[in-house]
Amino acid sequence: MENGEKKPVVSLSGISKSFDGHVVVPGIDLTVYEGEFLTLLGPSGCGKTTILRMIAGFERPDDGDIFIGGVRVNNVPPNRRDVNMVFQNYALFPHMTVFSNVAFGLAMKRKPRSEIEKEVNHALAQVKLSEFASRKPRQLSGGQQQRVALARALVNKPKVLLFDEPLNALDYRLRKEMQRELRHLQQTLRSTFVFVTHDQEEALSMSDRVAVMREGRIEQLGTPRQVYEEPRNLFVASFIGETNVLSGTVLDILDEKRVLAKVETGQCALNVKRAFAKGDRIRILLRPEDLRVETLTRAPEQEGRLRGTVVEKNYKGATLDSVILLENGTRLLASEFFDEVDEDFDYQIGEKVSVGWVSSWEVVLGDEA
Amino acid sequence: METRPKNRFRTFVIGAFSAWLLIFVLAPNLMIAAVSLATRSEERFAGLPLSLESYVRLFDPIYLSVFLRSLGMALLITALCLVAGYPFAYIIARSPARLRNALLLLTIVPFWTNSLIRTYAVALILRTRGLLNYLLVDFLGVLDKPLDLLYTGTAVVAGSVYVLLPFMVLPLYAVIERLDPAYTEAGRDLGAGRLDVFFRIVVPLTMPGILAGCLLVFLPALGLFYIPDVLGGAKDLFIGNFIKNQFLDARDWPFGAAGSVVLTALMAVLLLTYYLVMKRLGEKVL
Amino acid sequence: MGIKILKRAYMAFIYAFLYVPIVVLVVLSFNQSKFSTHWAGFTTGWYGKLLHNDLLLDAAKNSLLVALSSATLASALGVLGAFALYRYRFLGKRMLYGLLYVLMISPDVVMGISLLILFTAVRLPLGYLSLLLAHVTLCLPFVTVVVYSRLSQLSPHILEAARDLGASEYAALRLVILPLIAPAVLAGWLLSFTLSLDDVIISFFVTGPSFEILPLRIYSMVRLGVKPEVNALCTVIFAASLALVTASQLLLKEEHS
Repeated sequence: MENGEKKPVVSLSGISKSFDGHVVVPGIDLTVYEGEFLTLLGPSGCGKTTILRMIAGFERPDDGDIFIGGVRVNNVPPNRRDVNMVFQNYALFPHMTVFSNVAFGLAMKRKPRSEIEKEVNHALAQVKLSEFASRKPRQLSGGQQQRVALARALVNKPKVLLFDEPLNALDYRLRKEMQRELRHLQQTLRSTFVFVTHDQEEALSMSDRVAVMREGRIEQLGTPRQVYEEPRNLFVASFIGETNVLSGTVLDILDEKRVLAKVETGQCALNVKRAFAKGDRIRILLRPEDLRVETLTRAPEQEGRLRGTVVEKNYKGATLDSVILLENGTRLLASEFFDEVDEDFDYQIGEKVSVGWVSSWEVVLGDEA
Repeated sequence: METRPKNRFRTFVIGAFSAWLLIFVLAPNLMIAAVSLATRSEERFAGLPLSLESYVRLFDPIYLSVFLRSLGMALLITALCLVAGYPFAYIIARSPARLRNALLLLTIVPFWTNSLIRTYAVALILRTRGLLNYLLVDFLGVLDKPLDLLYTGTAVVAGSVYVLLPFMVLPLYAVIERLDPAYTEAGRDLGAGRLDVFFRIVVPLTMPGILAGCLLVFLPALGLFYIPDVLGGAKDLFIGNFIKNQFLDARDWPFGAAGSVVLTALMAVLLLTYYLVMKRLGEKVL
Repeated sequence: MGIKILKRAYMAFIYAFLYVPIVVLVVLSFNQSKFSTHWAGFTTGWYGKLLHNDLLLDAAKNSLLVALSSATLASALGVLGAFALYRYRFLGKRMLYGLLYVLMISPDVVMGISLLILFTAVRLPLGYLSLLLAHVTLCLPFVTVVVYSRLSQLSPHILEAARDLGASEYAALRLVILPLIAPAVLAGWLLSFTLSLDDVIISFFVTGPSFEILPLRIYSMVRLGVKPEVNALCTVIFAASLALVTASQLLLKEEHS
């Protein structure tokens, strides 16, 4: 998406919310820009749905301000906000036809009948459900109901479209398909989507930006690439994708971008993005696909590589995943692709190997308590 | 599911149950129909010849007006119960969970007391030297003369509403409680104000409960003869009173039976309507 | 905020509406004055009078007897009926189930006169037996429906397992099903007991002067105007039903916890 003029469409500042004395959101700031697909990602109970509902108007923040389109909406009821939500179980009105469901928002605005018909038919065509207009929701499949819920929200052309984990009830294949469709739709319409999910794969595949949340706080807000490749802390790193966490100690500062460190059983140079001091305890994050495993028979001993034994292996079709047990008991998960260089490799259980990684792909964090 | 016909236990079980229903439900009701076609007789209550005379007599203006008045009051009672009971059920259903059970129990407790006793208690309040007049005349001084409330149609309506209100509240509560709050939220999200949400979403979706409640109030309202007896004196005859009088006082069994058949027919019509409406709404009926 | 106050006021009003008559009844039962609502002093005299009223005590005894026996008989039959509906396929099953529901909401008057006609036709004298048969008929659909809904929640394999292990139909019902549905049967029994004790209309038609029951006694007393003993009697009944309800609620709670 273009960064030209990034206009904020939703601003939360200093928002906090408690339920029954339990603080769900302690105080956050968030800005959603026009035309972006922003995902709130986190485990259940992290407050992402609460924030969504506060934007929609179903919950009132205890503190702070919510601005939509530059207007403060704290005291504006949900039916007068220019946002629409796609609910988790779709909440399609069972006593109305698909057409009436989609038309509901326009009917509430008292639009003329001809206009309603035009808009609803257009919206139904957009989600490819035109032939289902006179059916009742219970006659539709889960995926079709989902699309009706989407059309019902879209047809009102709101400033922001909110999604409360709408794909949870779909099976894997349908879910993937809907992810692609939603992303495509958002980009075609150039609308602003705020999406809530606990599925990190989903978040990464659809979003322009991802806010990784934990216990009401945003741990990291960035593009999918940033969040995946440069996690700011252990939580983000382990929540998104698989990760290996190695322990180490800084031995020497080599230059402003590299340090020499003891890493598990070995010693090597590491690329760092912040300053460390000699003696600092550190954690090194490596994704399984960053690791390179060599059998000791094939490659001679190399500097900076860790020695271990293969204790598990899993053929996954595109990759060979293996678990390496280091001499000090730490286990590493490696995932290596079959490619032109190495078409056909395999390990034996118990085989001695050395593990390294692609230089500069590591992420070094301070030792968190 | 077994279908071995030789199973003696199975025969016994089905047989015993069906036999009871046959003897004590089906046969007696058929007898009512038969008696309604008979002629009044002194020694045996009903005898030949068979005729439709009883039904013809029902259309006599006196009796017709009684029936119609009875229907009108029953409708009024049902409407009052609905209007008073719906918000009540709604508020309980939307209360926090721990409060809900207590509120519900509080509602049911009077219901467990004999309705005759409750009717009597209403009489205690409404009579000339009862609580209401005591408050209005002696205590607050708002009125000079006591209100003559007992033995009026108002008393009967008030008493009936009092006795039958829980029958409206319970089915309403059951349906409202099951209503997913997401529907009202979706309605608000799409721009509906409170009135629109109520009439366009909540009422249609709770219609089964509304219909059930109305059925459970309307039918007894027609048949509970002790309420008009205790609160209305001899002035108000409900269909129930009419039937009772004919059977026990006037000893005109065919006439009373005809009235009963009419009442049963009315009930059948209502049940059929309920069934058709539910089908149309797409709800499961049983 | 305004809406909240409105809600509270409304609820308070309705609850007052529901309870005021009962409270008045209880209070007046202790009122020394015979006729008016003016408080003339506290007395338990009317309760004393009550205890000496043989007619009433007799009627109460009879009512209890009928309630106990009809509840038990109705429960037994109801279990059979629910079991039949659950277990077997037979002609007219759906109709039977529908009929039960129709019976439950049928006006009592109709049932009352239908049974009166029946008993007259077979020349059964009106007394304990006719009352018993009538009350069983009244309670039967309720017990059946309550027990049936519990049965339909059971896993269908339980009965099959019992049969597989060699139990006859009767043994399966007695040893396996019955213990599992016991709470529902008890609930049905309690419901029947209450319905029988409470019934005024049907009893009105099918009982005779030889067998007086309480609701009818109260009815005749009440029609003649206010009587302070009636107040006392009603208070006693109210207290008893309150105690019963509380007890059953506590029992239910115990079950669930």
